[in-house]
Amino acid sequence: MDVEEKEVTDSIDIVSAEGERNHCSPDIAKGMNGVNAPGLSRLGSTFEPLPTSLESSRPDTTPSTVQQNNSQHDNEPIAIVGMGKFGPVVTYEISTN
Amino acid sequence: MPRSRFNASGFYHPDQNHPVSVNSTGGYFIKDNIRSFDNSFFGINNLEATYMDPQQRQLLEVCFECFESAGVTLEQLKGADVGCYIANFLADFVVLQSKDAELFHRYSATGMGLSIMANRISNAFDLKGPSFVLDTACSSSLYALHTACSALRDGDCAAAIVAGANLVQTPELHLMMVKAGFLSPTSTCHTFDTDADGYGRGEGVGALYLKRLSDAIRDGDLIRSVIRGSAVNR
Repeated sequence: MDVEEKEVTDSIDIVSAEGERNHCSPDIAKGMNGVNAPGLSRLGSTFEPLPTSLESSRPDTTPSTVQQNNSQHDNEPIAIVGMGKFGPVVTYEISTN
Repeated sequence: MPRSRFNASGFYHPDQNHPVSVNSTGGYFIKDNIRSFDNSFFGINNLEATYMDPQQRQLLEVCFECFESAGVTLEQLKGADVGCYIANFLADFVVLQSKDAELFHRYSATGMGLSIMANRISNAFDLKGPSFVLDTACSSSLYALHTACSALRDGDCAAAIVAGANLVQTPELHLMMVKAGFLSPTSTCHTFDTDADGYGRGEGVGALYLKRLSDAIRDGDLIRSVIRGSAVNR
């Protein structure tokens, strides 16, 4: 058994030991990050370490083009320009008892 | 409840905990035939239409009405950067069709697929923007509206159709809701009322066509209302 196969076998064992909810194939497990599979982070270099908080671990993946769009339309009101419906208009009867 | 849905009185028992029974047999139901559908108008053959969830059928018709109301032509929609945000949480048609596996057909997967509710609209009108179904139970339509507004502000699409559908078709979910104590024995909503003891289920299909306000003004659209802000949380 070479080193690579041993790593894969270890990951299966550790996945099982960490709980039923982490059942996955070695290939899938390798693609999971620390947020999705906290127990897998113990594998060290194979997986990302556990984040200290979700907020700090969240990468900024916003493309520059979207940022530009945001700046253009940030807080812009939205107009309702069309309507369609199938069904009755429901009214509520509120008593004051 | 209309007998065309299911025979609710056949399930009635005053005790909500009585097995396979409901203590709420009413609600707010559409009187029109929810299965009626002008399928040829949308280029859908009779066989495929037969296997389509009535919610898909009515969403198509309501979205067309919405586009027409906005003064948008089918030619203008073709290939347009329009997002499709659909709200739904009723899988009654799946339950109904799955009772007999022999009824499954090559059109069943798309006919009862929940995600197809949005994709079929995008496909029928050739809309190129984001297209998905959102399920947050009773708040689904508000979430969909908020998501569409955010998408417009983010530049994900130039316009958006937002629609929700809720059609009651089988007793199973009704039974579950009764057992959970969601429904009022009076089948009536007494919102903010001292008599509030649950809610009455309601049906409806509705759609809104949205644009950024500046775009609507630029295009000379009839602006029916303005959404200045929205928010979601848990």
